[in-house]
Amino acid sequence: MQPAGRGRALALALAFASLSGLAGPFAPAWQSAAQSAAAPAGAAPASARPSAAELLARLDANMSFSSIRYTGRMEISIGGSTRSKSMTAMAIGRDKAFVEFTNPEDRGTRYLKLGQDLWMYFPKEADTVKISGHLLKEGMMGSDMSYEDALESKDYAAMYTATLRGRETVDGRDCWVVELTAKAPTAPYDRRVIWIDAERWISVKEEMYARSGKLLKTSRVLEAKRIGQRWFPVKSELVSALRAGTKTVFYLDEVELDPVLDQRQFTMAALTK
Amino acid sequence: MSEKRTMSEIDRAGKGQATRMARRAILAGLVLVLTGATGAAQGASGMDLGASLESLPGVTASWAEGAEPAWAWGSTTSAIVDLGYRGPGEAVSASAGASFEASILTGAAVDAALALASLGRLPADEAFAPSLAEAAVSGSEVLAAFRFRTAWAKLDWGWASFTAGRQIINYGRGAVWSPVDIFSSIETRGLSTTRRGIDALRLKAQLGSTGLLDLVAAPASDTRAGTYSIRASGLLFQGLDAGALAAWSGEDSEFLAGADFKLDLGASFHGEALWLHPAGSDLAGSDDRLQASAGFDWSAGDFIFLAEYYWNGVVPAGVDPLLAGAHNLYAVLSWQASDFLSLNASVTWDITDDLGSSQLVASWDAAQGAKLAAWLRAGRGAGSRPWFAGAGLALTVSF
Repeated sequence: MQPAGRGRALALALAFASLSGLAGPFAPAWQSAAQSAAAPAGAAPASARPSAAELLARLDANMSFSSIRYTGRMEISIGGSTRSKSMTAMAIGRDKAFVEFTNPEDRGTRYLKLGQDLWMYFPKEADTVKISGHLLKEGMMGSDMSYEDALESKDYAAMYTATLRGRETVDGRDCWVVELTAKAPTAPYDRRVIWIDAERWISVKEEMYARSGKLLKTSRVLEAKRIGQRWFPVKSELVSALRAGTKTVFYLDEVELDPVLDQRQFTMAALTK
Repeated sequence: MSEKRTMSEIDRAGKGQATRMARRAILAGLVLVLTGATGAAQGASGMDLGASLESLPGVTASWAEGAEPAWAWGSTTSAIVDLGYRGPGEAVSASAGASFEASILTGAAVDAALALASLGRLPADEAFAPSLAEAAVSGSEVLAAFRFRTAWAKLDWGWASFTAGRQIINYGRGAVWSPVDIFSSIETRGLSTTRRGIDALRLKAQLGSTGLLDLVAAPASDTRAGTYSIRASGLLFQGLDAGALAAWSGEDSEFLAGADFKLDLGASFHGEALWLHPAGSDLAGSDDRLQASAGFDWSAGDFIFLAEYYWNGVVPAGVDPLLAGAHNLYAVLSWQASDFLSLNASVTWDITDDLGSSQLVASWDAAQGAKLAAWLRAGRGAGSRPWFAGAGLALTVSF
C-alpha cells in the first residue's frame, strides 16, 4: 500500500512540476504553453509561413524562464466524482523544483527535484523517500504520461523531426499545426501533434500518439492570462484517450515569473524541515 | 528495549501521566504563543490548523486446533488535531508544531492496550481514563486515551536548524523493518504502522544540497539513560542515497553503529545494518549483536511489488518492536485498480518461529478528504489460541 500511495503523490507533484515549466518538451501542451510565455504578446509572424523548425525554435527559445513561484490546484475527475489537490511550488530552471501540498489530506507533503533525482517527504511520519526508477516509469494519474516524461529535459528538436501541417483554428485561436515524429524509439511518443497559437505563442493543444498510431491523450489550454509581456496558461486540461470519463484540470491561481528564489529552498534540509 | 512490567508498575506510571500530560500541554501552548509573538513582531505569521477523524472497527476470531473460536470485536476512534506555525524570518525563522490525539477504545482494542501495557510497550506519556490498572481490574469495555504525538519548537537558519520537544525522528528506509531507526518507536495503527514522537533536542545541518548532518540528544528523565547520536546522510551519486550512524544508548548501555542505503537500478534496493556493542564487553565482540534488513521494490504497469527480509539479531522474543523472530520476511503486491481504488495483498512471516499473517486490503478514495479501507487478515501467532482471522474497516476523514 505504501509504494502505491507514494507513487500517486509523486504523480500529483510532478504534474505541477510540469506545469511550472520544469518538465521538458515531452510534457503536454499546457507545459509548453507555460514555457513559451517568454514570447512578447502579439509578436507572432501570423502572415508569414515559417518552417516547422523555425516554429519549434521559436517555441524552444520561449520555453524558459529563470524561476517561477506559484500556487495551484488540480481537479481530477472520474465519472461524476472529483478530487482536488492544492499546492505551492517554486522552481529554478529545469533542474530544481520544490512542491508542497496544502490540501487537508496531503498537507505538508513535499517534493524535491534536483536534476534527475527526486525525493518525497511525508510529514506525518517524517519519512523521506527517494523515488525509485521503476516508479518513474509509472503512468501519471493513470495516464500514459510517465514520470520520466515529465522529467525529460531534452528538447523537441533533439528528439523529433518536425513537419508543418498547416494552420487551424482551435477554440477561436489561429494556430500553426506542427507534427513531431520520433527520431529514435527511445522517445516517449512515436508521434505528437501540437497547435501553436500564432499570436500568443502558447501551445493551446497537443495530441500524443503511441507507436501503434493510437491516440493516448490530449491536452488543451482552457484559459490563458497575460502576465507582464507574456501570455500564460492558467487553466489547462489533460484527457486520457484510453480511459473514458476521466480528465484532470489544472489551475494556476497565483504566478510569479522570474522571482528571486533562495537556493537553500532546494535542499534536503528544506525538504525535511 | 523495555522489560515486562507488572500491573502495579502500570498503575504507578498511570498516576504520573495526567501530571506529565498537563505539563506538556502547557509547554506546547507556551511554545506556540512565544513563537507566534516572534512572528508577529516581524510583521507576518502563518498558522496552520488541520484535523482528522479515524475510525477503526474490526472483529477477530482466534482458536486452537480442534477448538471453538473465540470472537472479539472492538474499535479505535480517534480525533487528531495538528497545529503548526511558521514564522517569516530572513536569516532565522521560528516555527512550532503540535499534534494532539484523543481516542476512544472499545472491546478488543481495550484488551490490546492492556496487553501492550503488560509488555511495557505503551509509552508512559499516554493518559487513559479510566487508568489501565483500573480497567484491568474492572474489566472495562471502554477506554479514553489522550496523548501529544508531537509538540516541538524550531529555529531555522537555512543551513542548520535546532528543534526541541517531542518530534518524530525517522532514519528508516525499510517498509516494515528498519534497524537504524533507533529513535521513534513504531506501533501498529489499524492497517499500517506509525511512529511515536520522542522528546529530544535535534541539531540538523546541511551538507551540500542533498546531505544532512544530524545530531540528536534524547536524554530521557535520567540523562545517563538517554540516547545520543550523530548521523550523516546524503546522495552519494545519482541513484544512491546512503547514511551512517553512531550512537550511545544509555538505557541499554550499548554503543550503536549503523549504515543504510537505497539504490536505484530501475528496480530499487534498500538495506540497513545496526551493530550493537554492550559497554564494557570485550572488543572481540562475543556479546555484540547485529540487526539487518534488505529489500527491493519493483513495478510493472499498475502493480508494485515489494519484499523485505529482516534479521533481528536474535533479540529475546517480545522485545523486538514488531515482535519479529530471528529471520523474517515481508512481501506486498499492490494494484492501483483505478485512480480512486487500490488493492493489496501482503504476507508477514516470522520464519524462525513459523508465525505470520496474511492480509488483503481494499482502499478507496471515497470522497474529497475521505478514505475508506476494508481488510481481511488471517494467520498464526503465539499463545493458547494461535490461529486467528479478522476483518475490519478503516475510515479516515481529513479537514
